Amino acid sequence: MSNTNFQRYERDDAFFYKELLEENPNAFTFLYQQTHQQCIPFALTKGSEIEEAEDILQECLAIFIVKLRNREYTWQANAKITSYFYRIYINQWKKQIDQKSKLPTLSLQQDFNQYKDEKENNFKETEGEISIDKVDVGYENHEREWIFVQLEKAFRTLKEDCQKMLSLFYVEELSLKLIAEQLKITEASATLKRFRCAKYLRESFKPKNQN
Amino acid sequence: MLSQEIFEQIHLYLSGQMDENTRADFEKLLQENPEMQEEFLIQKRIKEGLKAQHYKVQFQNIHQQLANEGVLNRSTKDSSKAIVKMPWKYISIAASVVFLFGFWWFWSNDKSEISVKNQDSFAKHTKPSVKKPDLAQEKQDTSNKTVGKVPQKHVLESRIVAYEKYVKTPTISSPFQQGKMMGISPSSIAAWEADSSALLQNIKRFKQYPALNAPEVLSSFKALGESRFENIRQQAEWYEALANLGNKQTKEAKEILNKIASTQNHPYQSSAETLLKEIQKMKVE
Repeated sequence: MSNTNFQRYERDDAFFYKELLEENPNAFTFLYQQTHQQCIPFALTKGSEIEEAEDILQECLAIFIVKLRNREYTWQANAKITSYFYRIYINQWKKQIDQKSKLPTLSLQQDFNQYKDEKENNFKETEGEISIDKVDVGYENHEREWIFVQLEKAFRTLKEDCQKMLSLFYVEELSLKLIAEQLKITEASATLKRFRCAKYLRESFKPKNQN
Repeated sequence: MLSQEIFEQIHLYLSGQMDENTRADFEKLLQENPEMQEEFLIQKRIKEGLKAQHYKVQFQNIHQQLANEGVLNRSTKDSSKAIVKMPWKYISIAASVVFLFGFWWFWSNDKSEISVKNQDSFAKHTKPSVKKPDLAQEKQDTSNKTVGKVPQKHVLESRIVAYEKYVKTPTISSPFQQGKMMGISPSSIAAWEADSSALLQNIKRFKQYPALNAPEVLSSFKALGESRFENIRQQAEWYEALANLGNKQTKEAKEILNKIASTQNHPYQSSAETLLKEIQKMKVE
């Protein structure tokens, strides 16, 4: 790990943002170290278990990186990245505590409809761009639960070859040619397989009586 | 209904591979077609969700690395002075009231009745019609094994949870020394990262709800038992045994525990011996 890089990240937030956008491993490590230092003591003094607090941190950071890479979060000179994230963390931590006391039971479709309404409202209000205030509210309701519980569960029910195919496609964002090479199949088969696997996964978010 | 054509279009758009004009047309199409908009949102959400899962694993690996280096402070020492103010005054008043009430209740009730009421639920099952506690009779009953089927099961189920105390998050040290990574294939490093994070993730899940998650994590531990790294295999073996106990597969658990106990220098050798003795003591078959 480069200390020189860390010093620069500390001094130059714009540079840090650029390196995060490029998924620089040093920038990720610095982000984790800094936010861990800020967020975990907060959760512990409020009576959280260390593992639960760290789990929330890792999940919030993961979503934060997705939003940063999608430009849903854009860097602003007057708000330090780590301080901005600290607010998100506190927000999410509070939500988790609230959720724990309410124990909500949402179906996949209910949850998706809620997400759709929120997205549509954002789309209408800002014409495709989410304002900084919207991001500040935190992630959409139940977004974390949807990703790390429901989607993860649905993904794990797929066959191993489908999981591999979808990881290469959705996560690695490889072209069909490269996917075909990796899986040692033809490009035509890869096209078909990719669609079928994506459809299986997508089907898990429909109620059983709807086709 | 998601057609292959729509699917391809959505992903061309999401990956930024559409030219400006096609992009504008596509956005217009989305505005006009709610069904397509729904498909678009689902695909976008799945893509972002899977990416977030991938990033989470990356942060877990970073956490493991920093924890191994002793960089992370996992205490409240450097907290931002967030002090939890407990309402001690009210708590102490409430505690006093409860104490006084308990004291009054104890003396105003028949003591022999209390002693029967205080027996655990198992005793209630076995002796529902006890009038007076007769210790000699009770001892004889137990030795004669006159306990019915339901209570026997109750004993086994309540005793089987002993394995939970063994479910702890281990520290897994990397086989690759820092600063001496030259010559090590990237695939080995990637395999190590994948195996160690899968192991930790499954242990975490198991630790959270041992009995509930045991069936789910069992297959993962079994698969990790084939890892190319010895310390991962050893950890996975131990947790496979515990998950078997959680899954009420005592026979399988015992087989693995016997294997661990007979393996010299296995990190869980003595724990396996202790656990086997505990199982034996409880006569859980």
